Amino acid sequence: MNDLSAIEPAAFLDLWREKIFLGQEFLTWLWIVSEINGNLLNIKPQGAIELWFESRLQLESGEGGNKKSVTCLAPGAEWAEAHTALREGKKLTRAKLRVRTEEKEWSLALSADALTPQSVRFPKTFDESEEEGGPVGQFLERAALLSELTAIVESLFKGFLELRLSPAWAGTELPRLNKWLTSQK
Amino acid sequence: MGLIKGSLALTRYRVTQEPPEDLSDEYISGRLLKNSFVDIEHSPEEKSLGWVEFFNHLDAGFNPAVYRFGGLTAFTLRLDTRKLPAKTIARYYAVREAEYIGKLGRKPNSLAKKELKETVKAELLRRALLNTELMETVWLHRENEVWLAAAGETRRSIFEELWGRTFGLSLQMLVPATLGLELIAAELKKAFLDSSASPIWLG
Repeated sequence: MNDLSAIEPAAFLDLWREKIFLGQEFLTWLWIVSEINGNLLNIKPQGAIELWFESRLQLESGEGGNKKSVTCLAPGAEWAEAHTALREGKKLTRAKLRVRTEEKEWSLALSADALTPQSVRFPKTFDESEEEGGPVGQFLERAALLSELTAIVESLFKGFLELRLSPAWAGTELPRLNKWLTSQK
Repeated sequence: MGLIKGSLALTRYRVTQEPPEDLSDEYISGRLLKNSFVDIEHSPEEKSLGWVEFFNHLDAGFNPAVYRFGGLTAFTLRLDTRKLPAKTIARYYAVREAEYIGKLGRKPNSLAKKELKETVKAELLRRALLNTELMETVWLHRENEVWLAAAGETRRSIFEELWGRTFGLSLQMLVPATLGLELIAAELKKAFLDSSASPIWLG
């Protein structure tokens, strides 16, 4: 089958917990990069997409009893608070964001622990009140749109991992992110 | 709610065990039927867990036309439960015990107590309203992927139990660790597994 078949259930739980930081670093990176790039990102194989963090940024630092968290509800003054939280060493653990391709726009929440789209609002490609195509047609369209969205999230995560696991992460990417964060003071 | 209409909560799984090559109608129908939902509306059961049709949660006939949609197979997990507050059981038991004493002139022994409690519970369960939980499930055959339109540990456990009992195929939940291992090239896997958290802010 694939690599995952070799992971025993108990080992899976350990691995899941051990690598949640990658979800946190990914969300943090994605937010900063979307801000730096004016919400425009180029990903493979989809090409150009628009992506912006819309609301409910949750940032955390520490673990267990030492955990500190802050939630910033909307852009503006609260985003400045989120920048401060990043400069205090916090990382993003959950956020609501929007993704737009040439023709479609999704709203979703992403959590660092799973990176599976939640609270998904689908593009308006059909009129739900008129039940165009009937429930089966709507379901198949939603399934196609969900596949498209998960593929976009996967492409973003893959791009992040390739950078994160390369010398360029420490060499150029972290300094770039820090330069931007410093400029937001 | 979720995959048909409304806002969606989602859990993704990879099917990590080889399913039968053709995933025939006979295979899928047979397993779904064997684990289909059994109605407990008129019986004193506390819980019933099983599959119902994707678009009709009252039916569990599983003709292929109701679960096959091109390369997808879709069905819905249905869990009906009844809960009785302990205080309610105690109140009705006290009434029954008084009746018993009035009739036989003595307190019930431990065996009689147990029987009385079971009778009271069965009577109350029959009258208690059912709570129904539905979780849409989609199996993407080509991708060896399963979508569960639900999130949270409790719901995942219920689904995983029924899935395992039905198909006996192992699932691996897709989370940063497992998704990452699938997405990256073979030469990066060691670095991935060895990686540890690093600060973003270096100030």
